[in-house]
Amino acid sequence: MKKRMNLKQRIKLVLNEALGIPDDIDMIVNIYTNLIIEKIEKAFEEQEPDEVTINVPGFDDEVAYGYEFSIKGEDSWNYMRKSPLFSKEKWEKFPSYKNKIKVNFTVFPDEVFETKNVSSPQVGASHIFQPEKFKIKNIKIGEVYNISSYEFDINISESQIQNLQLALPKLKSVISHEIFHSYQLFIKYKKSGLVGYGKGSVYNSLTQLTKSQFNEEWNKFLMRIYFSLKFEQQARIPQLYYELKDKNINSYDDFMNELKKTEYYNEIKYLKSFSTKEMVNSIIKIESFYDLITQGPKSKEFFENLENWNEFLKVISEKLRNVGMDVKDFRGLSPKVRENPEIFFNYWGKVFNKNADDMFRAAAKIYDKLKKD
Amino acid sequence: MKPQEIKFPKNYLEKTDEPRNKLIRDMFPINEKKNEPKTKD
Repeated sequence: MKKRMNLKQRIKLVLNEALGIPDDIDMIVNIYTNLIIEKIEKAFEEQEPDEVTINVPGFDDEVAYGYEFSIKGEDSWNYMRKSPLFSKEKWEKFPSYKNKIKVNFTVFPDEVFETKNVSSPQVGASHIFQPEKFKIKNIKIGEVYNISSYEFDINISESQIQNLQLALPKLKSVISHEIFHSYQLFIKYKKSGLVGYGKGSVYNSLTQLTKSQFNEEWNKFLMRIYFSLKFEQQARIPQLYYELKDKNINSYDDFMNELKKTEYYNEIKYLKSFSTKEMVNSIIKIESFYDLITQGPKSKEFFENLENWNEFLKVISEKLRNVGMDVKDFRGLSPKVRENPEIFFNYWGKVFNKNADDMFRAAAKIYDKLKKD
Repeated sequence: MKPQEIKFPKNYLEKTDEPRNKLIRDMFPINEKKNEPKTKD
């Protein structure tokens, strides 16, 4: 018999959904975090690591220890269904099934994190799926959603590997981000029968395909487009929530202090720091001998990108459709916006600024939620 | 790259968060793994 939610639980659920933190992912986030932590502990105890040399200035003679393991889809599912946290009722709302999880973790001396002025762990992660194989299947246990695999690249300090509980909030927050991507695709497919992130997928590819060999400023500009993708912004909301959830936040000051330590806050600052002037200078200004050599290719590359901008969007859309993604044709940027570099970057500056403001507003709502938790 | 040169492989995999991952890889650069076992004190 299904357990009915009381009023308080229903209010909490509605509030979470409104904030963009779906209750449906909570169980799998907790179970996968436990699974990955257990496997890391086991690998650290039992597995012979690879010794790797560090390419960080000042650490030339130091070594780091690398470990890799993969969790097969069958094993991730068995772990989930046997977990004390598993509830079939909850799982049916987001029936994530046999997901392969690849983990690569590297143990660095604590000083590397101090030199970089970042906290441990720093976790890279991806959600991966093959659009052509996207399908929700019906099998004996019911409807299953079996498209996702995950990759996590965990850089952790020597002291923290001895006490992995300290790494848990960060790890859980990154896991929630990637599981949320899977959930976005699931919900979209259930509601509309469409596969992929639509326009977001096109811009996601664009940021990869137009990277520059010559112009780091251009690559930073592309990074800001990636931070502004709607599906990425949405995934950062549960990520921030899980990062702050257990920080014992009781006041707005506590909240701001903790928020300022997060990647989320750095991303807001990064979006806000965009400067049209610096961007334009990176294309046309010559200040050094290096600029003299590289400015020609940089400038040529930029003006080609500007001219081809809508063609890139069109071709990527076509290619994505050919591999099974549902992408509708959409208008690119008007000729007026592409008229000259200044207008083009001013346009994007406004986009980045608006997204930074939206991110800050979303964070403020999370503060309201944390107070009520 | 020109738009006409774009190719997507067969069995294309859609992967999220590559720009962020590159940031982290650049922050923690390592040389190729040497497969030398760790010696414990």
